[in-house]
Amino acid sequence: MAHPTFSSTGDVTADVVIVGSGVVGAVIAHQMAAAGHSVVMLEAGLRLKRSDIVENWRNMSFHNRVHSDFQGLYPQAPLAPAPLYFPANDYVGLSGPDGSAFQQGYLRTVGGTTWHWAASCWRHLPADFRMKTNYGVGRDWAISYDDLEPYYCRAEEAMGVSGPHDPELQSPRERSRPYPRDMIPFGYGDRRVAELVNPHGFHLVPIPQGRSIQPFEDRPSCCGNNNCQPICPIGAMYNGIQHVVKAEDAGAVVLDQAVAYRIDTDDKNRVTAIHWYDADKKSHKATGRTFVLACNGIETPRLLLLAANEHNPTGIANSSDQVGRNMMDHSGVHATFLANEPLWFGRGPAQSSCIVGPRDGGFRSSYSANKMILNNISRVGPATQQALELGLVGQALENEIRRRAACGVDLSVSLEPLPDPDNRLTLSKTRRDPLGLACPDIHYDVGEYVRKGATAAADQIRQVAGLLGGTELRITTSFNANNHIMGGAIMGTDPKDSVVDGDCRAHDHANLWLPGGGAMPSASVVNTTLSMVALGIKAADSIQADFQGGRA
Amino acid sequence: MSDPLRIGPDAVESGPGVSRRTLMMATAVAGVSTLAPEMLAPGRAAARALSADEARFLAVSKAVTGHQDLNPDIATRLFAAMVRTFPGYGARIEALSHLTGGGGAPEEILARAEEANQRQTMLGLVAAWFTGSVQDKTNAPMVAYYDALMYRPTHDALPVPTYCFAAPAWWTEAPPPLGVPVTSPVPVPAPAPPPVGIQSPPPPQSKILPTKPPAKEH
Amino acid sequence: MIGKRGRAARVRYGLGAALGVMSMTGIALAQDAGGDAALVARGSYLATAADCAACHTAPHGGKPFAGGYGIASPLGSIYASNITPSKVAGIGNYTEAQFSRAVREGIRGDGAHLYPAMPYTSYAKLTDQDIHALYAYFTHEVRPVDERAPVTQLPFPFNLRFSMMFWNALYLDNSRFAPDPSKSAEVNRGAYLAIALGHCDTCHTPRNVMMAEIGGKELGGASLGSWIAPNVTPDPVSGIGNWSSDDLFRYLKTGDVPGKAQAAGPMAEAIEHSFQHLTDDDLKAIVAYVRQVPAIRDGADSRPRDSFGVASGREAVIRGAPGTLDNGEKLFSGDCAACHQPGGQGSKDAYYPQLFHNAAVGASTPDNLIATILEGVDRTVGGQHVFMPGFSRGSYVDELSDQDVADVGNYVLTQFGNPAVKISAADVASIRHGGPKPLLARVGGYIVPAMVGAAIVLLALIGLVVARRRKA
Repeated sequence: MAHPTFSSTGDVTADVVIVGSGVVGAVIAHQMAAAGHSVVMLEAGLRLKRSDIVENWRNMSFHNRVHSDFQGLYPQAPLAPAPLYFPANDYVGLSGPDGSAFQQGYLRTVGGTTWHWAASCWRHLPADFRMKTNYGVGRDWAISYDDLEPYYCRAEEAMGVSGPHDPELQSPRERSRPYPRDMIPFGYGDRRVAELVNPHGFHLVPIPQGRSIQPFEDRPSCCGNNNCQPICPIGAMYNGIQHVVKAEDAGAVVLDQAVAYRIDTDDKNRVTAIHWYDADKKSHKATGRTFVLACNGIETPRLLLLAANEHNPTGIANSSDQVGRNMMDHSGVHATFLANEPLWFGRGPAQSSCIVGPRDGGFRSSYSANKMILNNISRVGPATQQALELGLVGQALENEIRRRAACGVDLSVSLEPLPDPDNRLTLSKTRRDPLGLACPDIHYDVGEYVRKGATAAADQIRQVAGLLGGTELRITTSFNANNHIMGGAIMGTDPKDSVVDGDCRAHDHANLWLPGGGAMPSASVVNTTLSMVALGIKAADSIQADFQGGRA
Repeated sequence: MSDPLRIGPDAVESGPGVSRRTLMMATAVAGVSTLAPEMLAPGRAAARALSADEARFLAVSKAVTGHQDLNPDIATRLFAAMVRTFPGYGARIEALSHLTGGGGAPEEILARAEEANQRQTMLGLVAAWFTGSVQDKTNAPMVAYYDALMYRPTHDALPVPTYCFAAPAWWTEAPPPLGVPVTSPVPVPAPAPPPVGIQSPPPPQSKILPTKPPAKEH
Repeated sequence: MIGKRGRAARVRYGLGAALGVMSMTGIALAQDAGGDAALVARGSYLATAADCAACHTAPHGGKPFAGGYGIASPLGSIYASNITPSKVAGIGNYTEAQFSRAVREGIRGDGAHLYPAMPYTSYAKLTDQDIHALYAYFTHEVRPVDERAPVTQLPFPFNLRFSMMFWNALYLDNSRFAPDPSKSAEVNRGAYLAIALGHCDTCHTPRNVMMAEIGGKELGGASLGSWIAPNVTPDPVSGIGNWSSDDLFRYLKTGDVPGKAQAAGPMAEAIEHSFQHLTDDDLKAIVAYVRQVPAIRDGADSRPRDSFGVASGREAVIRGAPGTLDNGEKLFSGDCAACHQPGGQGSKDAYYPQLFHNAAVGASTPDNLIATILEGVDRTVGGQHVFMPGFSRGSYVDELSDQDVADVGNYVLTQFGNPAVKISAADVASIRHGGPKPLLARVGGYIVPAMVGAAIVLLALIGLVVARRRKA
């Protein structure tokens, strides 16, 4: 078992230096450590106890909980702020026509943002990799679906994904290996909605999920306590912390409260060191053979820009000027209504089924696809809020809470933005973090493609609501973020207009990898984590190949 | 289950469709806080007797919520939080107590409160017991989560989030009957008009979506 | 890392539970052509119930009965042998007499002695008919595997297998089970299953320093390292006298009796691999036997271990006041209450067990509570996999320090269990590292091999002393 070597002053040397300990960094760390390489992970945030997070959530005010304050319960390192919205801390400065649609909730903590994801493990469709070729919009990936497919399988196996074995329910169907576990079984609401909407082409399918109803390795069964977000209280949902633990068992070392800020390069533009501040603002240096930045879609481009040096004056990996550009997220809308029969969402895990009928088609040449998640988050909170607003008391109040909780439907609709170089992350000239490092600014406009897609989605929402006898239909009036941050270190074959290649290796630096959402050139409409992990595993394979080939 | 200790609030198999009297009797028998004295948990914070103000707050709370089994510890803590949050709150409870003294269902008390210009005080108190928070505002003080009354009307069907409900895959079983009218008991405000940004023509009546089903494509 | 429990614990009960059951009931088995199938089927039942596979089938997909599982002992691994009918790697050349000698006397076909990790001292009680059925099963039904199991290589002098002769002289009573005519047939059958075949006493009867069961303490409770096998005599305070026969039956069949106890650790393995496969009549016989052994009272016990505790009302006072909680209460609410519920009452279907009226929480020693928190519960019964994650190093849920486990354990004891029992961080460290038996137990649950190892050490010392005296 190989370990990194520490100097008396706290500097470190390892075969692989990874910045970021979220799911992508942790999966790579585990693979490299298990292969016998020394690995050190620099994590800006704190190492947390699950019990503290659970208790912080239960101790939150009703208002915060019912409005999904998924950030505030996670303590932040004093030197490594992350976005907060209750109230807003303006760590990320937003501008542009849809700046408010980019209010991302990501965590800087050991284990990363999968602490508060919902464990949806979707694959992109084969067509999503060829948007330019197929539909004349957006970009093609540097790799095809077939190239990534084996890595999708490995990602699913690493995360213990439960997905449908029935091909009719798979999206996409192109698979070389079955899901590790069959789908999480539907509850009544999923079955009933499928019955009502599927005859009309909506194609309701189970969401592939990083949890299971039987134990998976040392992970307990999901008991459906309906709290996947913002914290699974029992560890039944896959979290990046699971691979952090595995990596540590294989010899990797995680340094928490280690904020990377500077990157050294040599005359061949290979990365030679990454510098970080510890909790006492003391600077240290990590040297190594290969380097991986897996800090998430905002922090990776921010770090690349912050670390501009003499040889790379516009930022590391940025000779193309594409670092921080093409920022994307599944800008979405929510639709709520009351069905004319009880559907009882809120039984089981927080995500269960999804309408994927509008995921793909020729229309994508002119407007965005969408997917509609039937949120399975308990409606008791909103139902209570609404029933109280009606001024009810006594039995009428309780009946109304029950009715609204049983009949309430919340559709979370995701749309697909196109990569637009003007949707750009830059370094703030006015706001700095406690270490004096520039905070990120992001300019965002969802674009006509998404706006037209939203119009089409609204039609579909009304049709779904109509099929369920919906009343009180409300469709949100502004786009919301979905925390699926993509594009800031975009992949491509041409070093002049992209940042990384098909292995997520930086075009500019032979020993630097930038895997994760930032590399994704098309957003599709599905949650990004599985694609990010698949890209991470592909990157890890290419790092291993470099080691074996003596290139690192 | 024959063991009486196993019976807690969760074991009460009744929704609001059951009569209030039945529900209250069941919860009075089964609620942890009303277990026989020797089974009371050692951890009750208010081992001391309630003060006169606290006792009045508890009595008023029982009357306006219609629940006789409110937890005295939560009452003590909620009262303190309300007093801290709302200046002069003690006087408002005192005023409300003149209205609850006459008894009756919460609906009747609300009617009297309206006449006495105490409607918002009463609704605010009901909301606090239901949400467990003193008000519906960011970071407002809170005193109850699992015990917030809002979870009672659905306790037979839905978990209090974070707490496991039953064996894995329990959700595949049929949910309980709704037990209450499926239509709204009061006129509801009309939905907000669709936003300009995604304004669209009236929904199609029964046409197929303008997208190809992916099943045909793969 | 959680989930790393060895299964050598099974060695303690890895004897044939149901062996000879049918002969005990006096069912005559016809030895005609149709009877051969019945004989093999009976042998299969016996081998399954006896859990021969616990040692002789390697875990995680090992071929049935091909051996290779290394039973850890302080002296090194003792490898279970290949007992398939392979003529090159297994027992395919054994005559029934050789088979019988190996099983009941610990002497291999080639004449070498087995280490008593193979529990032949208990198997010695097997009836001839049952040996016959087992032989038929192993030679006719089990598929031969021509792969040799690793050779056990203990260091000198323990590699001298003939030294086991001394041990056998002391501890091997090579006589068959003899029914007690003063007891009912059912009790005798239960005795054969429970005691003569070593299914209960191996763990539940305390042992002296020479690893011999202490006379008069039968089923009085013993430490297995990390886990305690409690007093299961009919004493109403210290034992299971307050359990109904149905309770005991249900426990052996499922490992779960709401309001009393759930099986974890080695007992969960025993139920998973053996008890649940026994016939109902066999389980009832074990219950009947256990209920009539002499009751043993521990003067320190004041009330039954499953009678402590009540639901907690603490949820009403802790919410919204996070800074005021002590560590144990905070950990309980954050790590335990999701499943066991804030009041400790468990889920309403009892799938997640209640914590009050729970033997692990009310016992006069906290070992099983500590071991459960550290190692969790893992029990597959009737196709249902019951799994509580552990909270030790490598837990996917939360890693708790020794002090954390002590704090949350003490909170649970105070709220739901025996408040007189206290846990220190040192107690937790001890259980984490295999329990309070440093001489014997290297890893929790490995007590039998450890005992074997210790016994060998002792015997070797005796042998050395004798040899020196002779030289002198």
